Amino acid sequence: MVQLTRWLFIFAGGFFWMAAAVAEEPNIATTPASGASHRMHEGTTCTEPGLKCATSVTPAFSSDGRLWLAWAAGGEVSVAFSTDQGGSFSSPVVVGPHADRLDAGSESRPQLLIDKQGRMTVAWGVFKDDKYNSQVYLATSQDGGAHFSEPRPLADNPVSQRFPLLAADDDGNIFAAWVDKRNGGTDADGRKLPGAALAYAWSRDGGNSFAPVQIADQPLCECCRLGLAMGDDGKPVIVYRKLFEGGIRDHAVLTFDKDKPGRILRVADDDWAINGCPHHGPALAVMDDGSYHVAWFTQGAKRQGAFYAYKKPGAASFSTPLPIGAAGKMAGRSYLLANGNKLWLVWKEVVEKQTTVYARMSGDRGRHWSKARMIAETSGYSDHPLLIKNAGQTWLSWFTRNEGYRLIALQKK
Amino acid sequence: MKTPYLLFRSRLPAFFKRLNPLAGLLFVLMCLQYGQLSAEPAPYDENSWSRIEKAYAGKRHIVHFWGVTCGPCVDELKTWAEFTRQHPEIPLILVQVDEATPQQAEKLLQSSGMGRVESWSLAAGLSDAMRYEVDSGWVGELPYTRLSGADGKTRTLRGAADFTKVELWLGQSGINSVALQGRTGKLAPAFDAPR
Repeated sequence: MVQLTRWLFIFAGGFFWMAAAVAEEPNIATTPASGASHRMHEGTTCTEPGLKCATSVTPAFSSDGRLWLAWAAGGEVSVAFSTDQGGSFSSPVVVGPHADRLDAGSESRPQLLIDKQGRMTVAWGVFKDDKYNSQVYLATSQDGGAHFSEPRPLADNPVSQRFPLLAADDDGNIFAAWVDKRNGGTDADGRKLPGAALAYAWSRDGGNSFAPVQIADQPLCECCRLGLAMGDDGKPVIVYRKLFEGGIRDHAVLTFDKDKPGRILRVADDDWAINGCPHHGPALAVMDDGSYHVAWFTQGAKRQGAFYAYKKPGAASFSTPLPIGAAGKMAGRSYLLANGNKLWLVWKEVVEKQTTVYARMSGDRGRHWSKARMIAETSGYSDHPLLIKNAGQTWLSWFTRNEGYRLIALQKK
Repeated sequence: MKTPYLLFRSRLPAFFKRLNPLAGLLFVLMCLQYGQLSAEPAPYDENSWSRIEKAYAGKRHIVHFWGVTCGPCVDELKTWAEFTRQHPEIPLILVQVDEATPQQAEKLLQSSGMGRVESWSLAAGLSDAMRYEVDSGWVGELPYTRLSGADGKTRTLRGAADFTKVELWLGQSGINSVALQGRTGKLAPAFDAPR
């Protein structure tokens, strides 16, 4: 009987030993208490480079009226065109990044620029190390998108570049701006300085080469995308989340005087002190009279939510911020576009599972606005809503996972 | 024939007869404690938040959203790692919401010295609905931290946490601790001056 009891103990011990071995097996040990499984998600994650798996889609019209898209999906940047306003697309061409790790967040979309001569420039960021330092790459086409060059860095850089933006003036000169950490370092006391610098460079040959990189301003938020518009006078204007004293991340507008950075104006005193990444970049439109129009997001001490303000030509300050969207509906991701004397504004609102894009139009340069009109909705993942114009018409360009790419006219010709 | 083990057992007092199962149990507990040190985050999708809420309903816990591309988030992970060592009694749930593989997220967690915590990483794009269900006021800023009490009351912290606030929250739950007071997610000294 004693022997039997002993054997019982041995078996019980063995059982616990086995249980311990199972607990030691990494996959089981890592399963969260909340009960997810690694296998659960297989088949539902979209990982192909095709448009249907895009995280962000950037549109541009070429002068022959074709709609071009550049998108990030499956770790690649692809380009395709449509001759029926987004109904169908040509076979996609993968232009990059070719083995590097694409910066594919919805705040860091690939850029697509088509100049008046039909030359195309696609830009994106790749992460070059495990610390998520990035480098901006370009691929260009000199034959209207029939062939693209191999990807090449936009500029030499020992540190990190993110969030490139491109714009062309009427002469086909390309202006590129991005967030650059080359001046990031330490102060006289050896303390790490926050933020990054606003860098820019011009290309006079359709993106084949760029003049040496210059710094326009610093510090600015290191993880916030920029807004860029080219004025009719050929002067680029940038809106960015500047780092003000006290760690305040509020927006400022910088006007370039062709080659040199000019005046910097604070858009609004929101007083958002955050040591973090707002993940919510601004939008900018410059109208034909030289007025500036900015939409942005803040969680500042003085105001919270999405806002719009304008600056009359020659004025020294922006108008009182106007709230965008309904309160409590997560209004954000605003985008602005000037088309002749009309100014268009779109944004997203979210209620539970439904994301809706609304639009408003101003016929008097931002002083008065039409009522908010619902344009499109989705219940799954969606990119930011963008605006694009062609031949007098204004369109909403929006990619959603469930519905795919949509180009929706906001007005009749 | 008696095994050496039984020989050993026969010379011990009666209560040591239970040593073997007790040792087994002890080993299980040890494995649970240390087995998750190098945990690759689980995929976070549209079903994950309800799972987390269900698992921690009625329990005091912290959910910390971060992103691999968010510098202030990565800097702050070290302080959260320290926090988990000082407060193993408070479950910390990490959710990485940038576009990255679980391996990439895990690499940063390991280099921050993060020990055994429940960890998730975004499987595909973060939809608006996935943020809305967490907090209808969270428009995507990171880091973003939720301090939830056993009563379900939640306090949110936007940007790198002010650990004085975290310790105060612990104090309200009857836990006395000042170890991390005054710590923030590595706020640059140039901007430390009072505003």
